[in-house]
Amino acid sequence: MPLSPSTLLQLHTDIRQTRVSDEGIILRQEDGEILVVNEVAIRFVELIDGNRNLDELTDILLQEYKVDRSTLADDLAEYASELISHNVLSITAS
Amino acid sequence: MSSFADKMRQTWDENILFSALLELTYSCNLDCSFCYNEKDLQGRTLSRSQYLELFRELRAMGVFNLILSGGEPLAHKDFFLLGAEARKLGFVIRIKSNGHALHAATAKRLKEEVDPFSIEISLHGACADTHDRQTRVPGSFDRLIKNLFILKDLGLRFQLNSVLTRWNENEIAAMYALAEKFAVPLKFDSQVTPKDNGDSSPLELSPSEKGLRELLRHQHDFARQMQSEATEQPPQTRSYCGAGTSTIAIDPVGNVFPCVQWRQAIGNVHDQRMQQIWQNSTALNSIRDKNIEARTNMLNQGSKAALGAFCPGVAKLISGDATAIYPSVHLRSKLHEDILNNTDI
Repeated sequence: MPLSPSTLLQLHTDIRQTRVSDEGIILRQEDGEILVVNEVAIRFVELIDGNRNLDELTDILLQEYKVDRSTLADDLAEYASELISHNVLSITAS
Repeated sequence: MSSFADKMRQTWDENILFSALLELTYSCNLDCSFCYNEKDLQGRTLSRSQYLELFRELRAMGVFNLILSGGEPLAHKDFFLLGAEARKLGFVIRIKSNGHALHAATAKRLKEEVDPFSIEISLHGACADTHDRQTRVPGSFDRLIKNLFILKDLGLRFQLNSVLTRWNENEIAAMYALAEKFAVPLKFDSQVTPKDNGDSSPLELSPSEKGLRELLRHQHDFARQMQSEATEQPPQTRSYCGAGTSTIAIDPVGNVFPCVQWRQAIGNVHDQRMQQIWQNSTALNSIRDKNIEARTNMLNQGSKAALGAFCPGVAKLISGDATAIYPSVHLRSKLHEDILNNTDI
């Protein structure tokens, strides 16, 4: 399913995440796979609650990081695709 | 981007609390002869609401791993409630259990309500005679094996832990074979430790040199099969281990320790917030200094000392000095060297 600004995302139930300093650690419990991600990516994951779409997530992060909207939106779409491919996120609605 | 190992080193070096082990209760449905718990521990046990508050505080501090231990953690009256709350808060939950109570209904409930990342289960021998001799509960081995099949069927992740003793040292190969049957790891601890109150009577069960040699041979053979190095070099960190730098342990009455083995209290959660203890405890600061000193001391011993599996907490219990290398470390170092040089007989 392609990503769009209205795409709703949610974390898989076996995902656990935390921050260590300026990076994040994501554990996929199912198989013990661990990902280390940068500050923006972990913040993005922290904000995913199954209710906010990509556009709303972009709005929140825009207030926290000095970056232009289109760059951030592209980056988040890329993060989301990557995390979907790692079975961290799934799309609930598009 | 950093690796996970880099992040773990960072937790040690920057005193970032990452793992908390909670001894929920010292009650147990088995009666292991070398149990290190202080059964007559005095004090007011932590209440359900105190645990829930503690969980929230630990999570806010960034704690990732929450280890529920005991005694037997499932013997705590609020185990499932606490486990479910820990899950809701997003902890990676690890459980240390003897497995005796994990029959079908309880195991199913554990998966559905707590969803632990892993369960570490104690195995004391490869047959009922040895295991039951250790647990002092007849039938405990057969029940454990039955429960392990249940855990496997339910898809619960578990590993087996064992302390090498004089009683099970002749069953090492059979115990590894048993673990293989379930396709799970078996982790041996070759150090029998004194009780937490300093009573050294459990040391009478310490393995013989022959038993230790046998275990090390198995571990080296396994490492060779995996084409990995059997040697362990200390990580490039300031501290020797995570005790008090990235981990804590809390006993049933709220005493906080730098780890489960290093029983030097750094505070009590009845009296202080965890954040306060972690940031301001003078006892913890001196433990962190000792931990750095322990690493320097080990490096000064040369590479072979690293093979002896030194633990500052055990050193503290045995000699009162967390940096003093105790005899079994020297023995394990020597045996490792013999095996590496093919001079063991």
